[in-house]
Amino acid sequence: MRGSPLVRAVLVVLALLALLGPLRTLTNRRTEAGVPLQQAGPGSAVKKKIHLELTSTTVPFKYQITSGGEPIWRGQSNSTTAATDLELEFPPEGIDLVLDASWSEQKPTAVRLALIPQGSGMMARTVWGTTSVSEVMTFQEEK
Amino acid sequence: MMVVRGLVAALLIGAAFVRPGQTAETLKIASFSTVLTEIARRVGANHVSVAGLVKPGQDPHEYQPTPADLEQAADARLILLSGKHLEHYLDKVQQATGAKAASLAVGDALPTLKMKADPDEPQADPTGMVDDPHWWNSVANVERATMIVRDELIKLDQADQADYEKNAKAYLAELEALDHWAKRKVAELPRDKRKLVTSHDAFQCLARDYGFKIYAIEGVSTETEPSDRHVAELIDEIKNQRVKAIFLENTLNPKVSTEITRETGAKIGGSLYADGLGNGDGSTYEGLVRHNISTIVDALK
Ligand SMILES: [Zn+2]
Repeated sequence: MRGSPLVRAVLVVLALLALLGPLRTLTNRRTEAGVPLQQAGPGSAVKKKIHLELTSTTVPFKYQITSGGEPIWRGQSNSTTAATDLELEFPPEGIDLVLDASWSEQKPTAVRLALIPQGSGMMARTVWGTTSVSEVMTFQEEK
Repeated sequence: MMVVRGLVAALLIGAAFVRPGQTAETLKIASFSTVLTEIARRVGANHVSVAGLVKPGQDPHEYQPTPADLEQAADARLILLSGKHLEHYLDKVQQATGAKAASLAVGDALPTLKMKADPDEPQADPTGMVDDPHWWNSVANVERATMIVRDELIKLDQADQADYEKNAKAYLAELEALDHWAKRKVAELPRDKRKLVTSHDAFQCLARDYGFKIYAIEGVSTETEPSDRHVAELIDEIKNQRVKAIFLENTLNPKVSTEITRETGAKIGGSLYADGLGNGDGSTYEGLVRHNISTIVDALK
């Protein structure tokens, strides 16, 4: 029984699964500024590399950016600025990003989302809130 | 015994006219718009009694007041009109009511979008355009309309000003939350997929508010059939734009829309409440907006 190929295969799979946990932690640690989740939903537009920068005047703050109904970036930041790079579909009609951010202190806070598509200028929107913000922000490249 | 019976009868008759929470001296309002009926009832609450003459689900383009409707209008202190030339029977109302009641064409105070007029439309300007009457398909417009109705109620009944202000504030907060919900829901749909093909051109302000492009099967009114050429052009456009779904509405025969889906392969995305409140989930303004936005977004995704 000990030499059975089936048992050996099961053992290999178990070993791989055991490795997955620590590996995931390592990957997460590398992106501690926030976790870029998945790319935006399907569509016919071409994907573009986009740099996103989020600034909050109150720290720490929690945030989530949603595109096409799916979260694409979320995390918590102890510094006023968090940044990430993503690939997103960016049609000429523009994109809507939903910004949700919150902080524990009750304090008027400005939260700014800046977006820089590769080869383009920066676009930014700012929204104010006292304990949280929740805003749909539209970004469209100038023609 | 007779006295008691008489008293009971009097109380019963009284109860038929005074709803719970209503005082006998309510401000009588006649409304020719289902959306304004809701606004007046929410803001006026127990201080008003509102006769909704255009009923939910009724096509306001085709509505004609009955003698009983005109009687109720004549009996009202305030007549609420949708405005922007939607009430083509306005002269009848004015004849019936004389100068007795204040009439308020709420839509006339709201921003105007222009749309292509039907060939026989008397209100068309020299370029063939007419004011788009469908202002209620913008939540922002309904917020403005609420403030207009509130101010008018205060003018007619200053004693209850505080209540009107409080009720309007609560209703406006609901509308604000509704608009926020709608923006988030629409954000699920990529902006290049926001193409709205509907069976009559009623959603210009929704399109403006939420970034849609409109392709209408008909012009302003539900009374006219679209021309063959217009339908052929639309079919080409739907194919070119790869539009996934087209929409019907609650007050229109869906014959033409069905023909278009057969030609283009686009599916019927569902029916929309284009002309005000309906029955079912569109029986409140919030229900109407939630239904329309969800139907559009989910079908085009
Ligand atoms: Zn209409």
